[in-house]
Amino acid sequence: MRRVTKERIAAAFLLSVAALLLAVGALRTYKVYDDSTEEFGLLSFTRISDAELVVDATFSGVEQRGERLYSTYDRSEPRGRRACPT
Amino acid sequence: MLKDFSIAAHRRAVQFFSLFALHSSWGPEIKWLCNPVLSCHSCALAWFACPIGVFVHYSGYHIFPFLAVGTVLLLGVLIGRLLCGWVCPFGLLQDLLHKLPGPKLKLPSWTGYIKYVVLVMMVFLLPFLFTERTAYSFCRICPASAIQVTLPNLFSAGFAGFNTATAIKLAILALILAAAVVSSRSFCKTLCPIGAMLAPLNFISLWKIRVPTENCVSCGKCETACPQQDAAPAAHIIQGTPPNRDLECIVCHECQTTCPRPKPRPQGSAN
Repeated sequence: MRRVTKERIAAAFLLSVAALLLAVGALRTYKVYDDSTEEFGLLSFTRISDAELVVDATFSGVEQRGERLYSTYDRSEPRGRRACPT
Repeated sequence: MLKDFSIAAHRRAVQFFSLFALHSSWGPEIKWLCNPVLSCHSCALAWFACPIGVFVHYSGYHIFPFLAVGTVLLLGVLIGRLLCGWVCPFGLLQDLLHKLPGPKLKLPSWTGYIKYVVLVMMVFLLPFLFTERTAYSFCRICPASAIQVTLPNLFSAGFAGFNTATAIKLAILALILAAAVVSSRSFCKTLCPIGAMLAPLNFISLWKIRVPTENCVSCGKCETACPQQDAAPAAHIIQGTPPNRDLECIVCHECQTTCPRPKPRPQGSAN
């Protein structure tokens, strides 16, 4: 098999993987808990998409405690521009 | 015909345009999208997310970053390290610094592998083990972050938040900038984790630098013009492979522009 053919097969395979990852990312959601509004011992949470989690990752909008993600800000308020504390 | 179409002649203009375009947000953001160049998403003018910052945080969350990896992989397969050579603002800064007079030297080839260790350790492993807030993540020493965020914040706060971590970050920035004067794109070669992610994809990327290999006279002009000293474009041209099929190539097309493209020599002529 020619080198160029091998390159194209590898490129096609990785493009498929990238498309699959983007598709999964578009569908995936995560529970983000809000520890400030615990009612009757129950934790309230919001489901956010992977795209929203990427945005949260740009300013540490969530943090991991145990197995759960907790929001570091009030999601009912407009977020505005925020910088990453790290 | 091809010689007349010199895309590399416009590279500097594209780099400056990208610098302003990437840092021109007056308020809106597209930070769900990772742009694989070294530009901190905490910059007040940034449009896009930095994949390194996102990977550091996702590693701390113990979550696989589907969208971020998918974006980087997609762009890497389509264009390889083209963004390093044409769009990265920190690459532009290093290109300009290397034009300053002073001693110039070539770093040993093995230093090109340091960036893979940096990628694995400081972007994935240490944030995974010690959370994204660890002092050992790449963001803590990122020179782009130091220029775009740390320094402006320090000046605006009258140096109120100056501490040891800030001092270390700025010292690393100073070292990296000094190294860029002495050795072309030394940060890209030795430390850049984005370069480390995209480099292996150079081997299969759909973007190819086309040099008329049948006309090569081994003049070495491409080697001299190459800003990545270990990319060895001449060796690839002689082998008949595109010069960007190399881990260190930033797809700047300087080798293509510099190639004199002589007409094929007549059969039987000496040399």
